[in-house]
Amino acid sequence: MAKRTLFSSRTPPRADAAGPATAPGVIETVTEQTKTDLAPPWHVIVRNDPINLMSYVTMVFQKVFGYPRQKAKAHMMEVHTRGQSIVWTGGREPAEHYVHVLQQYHLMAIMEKAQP
Amino acid sequence: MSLHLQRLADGNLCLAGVDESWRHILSSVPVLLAEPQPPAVRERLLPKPSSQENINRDWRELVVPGLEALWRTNYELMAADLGRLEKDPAHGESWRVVFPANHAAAWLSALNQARLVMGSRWNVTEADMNRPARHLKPTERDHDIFLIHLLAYVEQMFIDAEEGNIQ
Repeated sequence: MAKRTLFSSRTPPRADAAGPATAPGVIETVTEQTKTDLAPPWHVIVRNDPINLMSYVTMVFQKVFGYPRQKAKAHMMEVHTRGQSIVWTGGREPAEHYVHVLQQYHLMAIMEKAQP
Repeated sequence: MSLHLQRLADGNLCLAGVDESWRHILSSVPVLLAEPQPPAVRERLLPKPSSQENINRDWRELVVPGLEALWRTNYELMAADLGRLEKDPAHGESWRVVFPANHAAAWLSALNQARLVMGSRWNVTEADMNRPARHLKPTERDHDIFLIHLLAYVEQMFIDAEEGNIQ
């Protein structure tokens, strides 16, 4: 039976709430270094839907990842204009946690193994 | 007096200016969310988190019940608050309800979910959402699109509350 790692009680580290400022129009994707460096990282991806408000999606990215407003808004705009955005990249367990939390907020969140 | 959300001196929130129409619309939210949802709605609210079937299987088993319980708690809290609507002493024609500020997240969840439920029931598209209200037709589908917009107006108040942008 496959190991169940879904949604452990461990709280994943928040993505760079106090990270460097991002230039306008540039979206930085945070990649976490963890002890599972040899395992391929996972992307957390949010897909567009026509109903969720832009202000709501921005607020959720700020709450869930601790992103500064400008960065949260840039990801929201990427979702809106390109159909999806990679909002976080890192280990599998925190990726599962983030997908769980984003879905609690009704966002279309999925996880995908990053291509090497 | 128009619908508005305000923070009281004691920290509680007060939704005031609730006229008969708003009362009906807001009360319909928990009712809608308590109904069994068709597959299209469930697929939207509970999308598969991965292309890997083992992850999806565990997710269905371990996560979906918790998500549904959380959402139920949220709309039940909104329903309980709405059950305490009272005539506004300052504006006899409308109602108001006072509730703890930490209920705002539950209201926000319920309002957003109700909009998503209606949107996925009718397969509402970006083009539908961008259609001016004057182009809406007297159909059940367009009625619900209009409701999605109306509830967005209320939802934005709760987003502002969550972000500390109301007084």
